[in-house]
Amino acid sequence: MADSDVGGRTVSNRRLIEAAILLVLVLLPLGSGRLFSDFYIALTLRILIFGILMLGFDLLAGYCGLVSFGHAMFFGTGAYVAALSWRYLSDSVWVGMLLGLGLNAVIGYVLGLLVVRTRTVYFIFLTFAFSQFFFVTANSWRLIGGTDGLTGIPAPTLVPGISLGDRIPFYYFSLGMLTIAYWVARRIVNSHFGRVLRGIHQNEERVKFLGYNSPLLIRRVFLISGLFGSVSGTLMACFQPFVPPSYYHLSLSGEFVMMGLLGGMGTLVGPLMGTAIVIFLGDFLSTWLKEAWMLCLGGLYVVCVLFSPEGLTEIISKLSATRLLSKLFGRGDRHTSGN
Amino acid sequence: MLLRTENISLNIGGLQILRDLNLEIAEGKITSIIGPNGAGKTTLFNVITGRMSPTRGQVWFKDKNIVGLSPFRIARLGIARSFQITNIFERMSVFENVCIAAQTNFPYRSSIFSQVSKDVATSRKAEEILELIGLEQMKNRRARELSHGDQRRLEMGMSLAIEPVFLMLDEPTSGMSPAETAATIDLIRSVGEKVTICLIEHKMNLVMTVSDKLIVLNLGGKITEGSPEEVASDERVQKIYLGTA
Repeated sequence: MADSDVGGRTVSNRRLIEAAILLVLVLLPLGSGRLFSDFYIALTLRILIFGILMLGFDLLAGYCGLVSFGHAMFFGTGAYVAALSWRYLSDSVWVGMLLGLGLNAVIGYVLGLLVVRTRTVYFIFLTFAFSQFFFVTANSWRLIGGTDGLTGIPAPTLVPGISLGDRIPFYYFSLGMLTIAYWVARRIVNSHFGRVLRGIHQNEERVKFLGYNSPLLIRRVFLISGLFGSVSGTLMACFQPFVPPSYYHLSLSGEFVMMGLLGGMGTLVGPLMGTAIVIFLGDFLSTWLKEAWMLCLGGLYVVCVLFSPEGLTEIISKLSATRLLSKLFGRGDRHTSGN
Repeated sequence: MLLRTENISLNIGGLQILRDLNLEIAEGKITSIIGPNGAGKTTLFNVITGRMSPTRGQVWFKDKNIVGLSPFRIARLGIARSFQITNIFERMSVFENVCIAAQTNFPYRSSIFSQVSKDVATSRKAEEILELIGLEQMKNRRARELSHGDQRRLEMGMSLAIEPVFLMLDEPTSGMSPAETAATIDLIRSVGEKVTICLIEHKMNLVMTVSDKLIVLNLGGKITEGSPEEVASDERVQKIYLGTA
C-alpha cells in the first residue's frame, strides 16, 4: 500500500495509462447517441464527480491511515452552499464553488482540532458523529428545505453564456475538475508532506521522534481531504438540481469507505476504480435486482477483503497489467525487466 | 554540560521508577548508562525525549528546560533517539526511511508544494548516511525485509540523518551477531567524534571500550558514575551485577 515510485519505469507506465484513460474520457461524449445512449454519459459523470471526493478520501484514509466515516459532511456542505449561492447570490459556478470551499475549510479546520485527538476506531466514530450532526441539522432546518431538501436549483454558468445545465459543457467541466484534482492529489502524494503522511500511517511515533508535528500534519490532510469533497458536492448540486439532506447521510459516507476499500486505498487510482465499479455495478444490478443489488456488492466486498485486502489495484498489479501493456505497446523489453 | 537532569523523579501508581536523578552529560563525550533490568534506563530516555513527563524535576538541555515539551519539539532541538524495540517504517524502502529523517534538515521538510523527486539535497544526505551505516546495497529493499541487525543500523542511521547534537541509543546492538556488534562499535566511535552520545547497553565489553563515562542505575536511583575503570572497580556495582554472597 502506498508505495513510492521507485524507478522511472513504473512512473512512465502509469503516465501512459493515465493518458489513455483521459483520452477515452475526452472522446466519450462523441459516441453518445450513436454508440450508446446519453444515459452512460450521466453514469460516467457520477463517477467523475464522486471520483474527486474519493481522491481526497484516499489522501486521508489511504496515505495517512485515518478512515473517515463522515466524509459526506464535506460533500453535503459543498452541495448546499453552492445551491444556495446559485439561487440567491450569483449564477456563477465559481462563486458557489469558492463559498463551499470556504465553509468547508472552516469546518475542516475546526473539526480537525477535535478529530486529531483520536485514531483508528475512535476517529471513525468521531467523524461519523460529526457528519450525523450535519445530517440532523439539514434534515430539520426549514430555511434550507428541511426533509424535502433544496429543489429547483437554477443551473449555474461557467462563464456568462455557457450554462452548466447543458450536458456536454458540464461533462467537460467535471472532467477538467477531476483532472485537476488528480494532478493536485498526485503532487501532494509525491511531496515531502506526502512522504511524512505515509510515515504517520506506518509509525506515527517514529515520525514524532524525528521532529515532525504529526497532529498538525493530520489536521492539514483532514482539511485538504474535505476540500476535495466540497468540490465534489458542488458539482453534484449542478448535476442534479436538487440537494436532499441525504447528501449528509451515513449511508453515503459508508459508500465512500466501500469504494475506497474495493479499489485499493493508498494508490489514488484504486479509489477511482472503486468508484467506477460501485456506480456501474449499482446501476446495472439494480435494474434487475432492485434493492437486492446491495447483496452482490456486499458479496464482492467480502471476497475482496478476504482475498485481496489491498483492493483491486492489488489484483491488477498481481496480474501485472502494466507488463502486459508494455508488451502490447513497447518493444519487447523482456531483457531489461529484471524484477 | 550539554544535558543535565535535576532531581528527576517518576512515580507510576505508587511505584517509584526514577528517584531524584541528577545526571550530567558532557559535550563531545560518549556516556553509557548501565544497570540491571528494571533500573529505569529506558524510562530515563523516555523522560528526556518527552515521551513521558517526570513527576518532579527538570531536564536542562543547553540551559533550556525541556520538561513538558512534546517529543517533536525536543527532536527539533537536536536530540535524536533510537528505540530498544526496532522502530522504523517497515513498508518503505531503506532509502526512504533515511530520507524521511534527512528531509527534516530543510525548510521544506513537510511542505505540500515541494516534490521529493526534485530534492537532490535530501537524497545526497541519505546516500551519505547509507554509506556510513553500510546499507547502500540495500537501498531499494523494503525495510521489513532487512535482517534484524541491519534494521537496527537503519534505525541508527535515521537518528543520525536528522543531524542531532545529542544522540541517544537504546541498546543499539541488542540481538546483533558478534560481527554486527563489532561493526556497530566502530560506527558509534566514528559518530562519537562529532556528536555527543548517550547509550544504554548490556554488553559490558562494548560499554567498557567505547565509553568515556559510565553512569550506573539501580532501582531508579544512581549508584555511581565515573570512568569505566573506576566503575568496574566499584564494590557496589560488583554487588549489583554479581549479587551479594
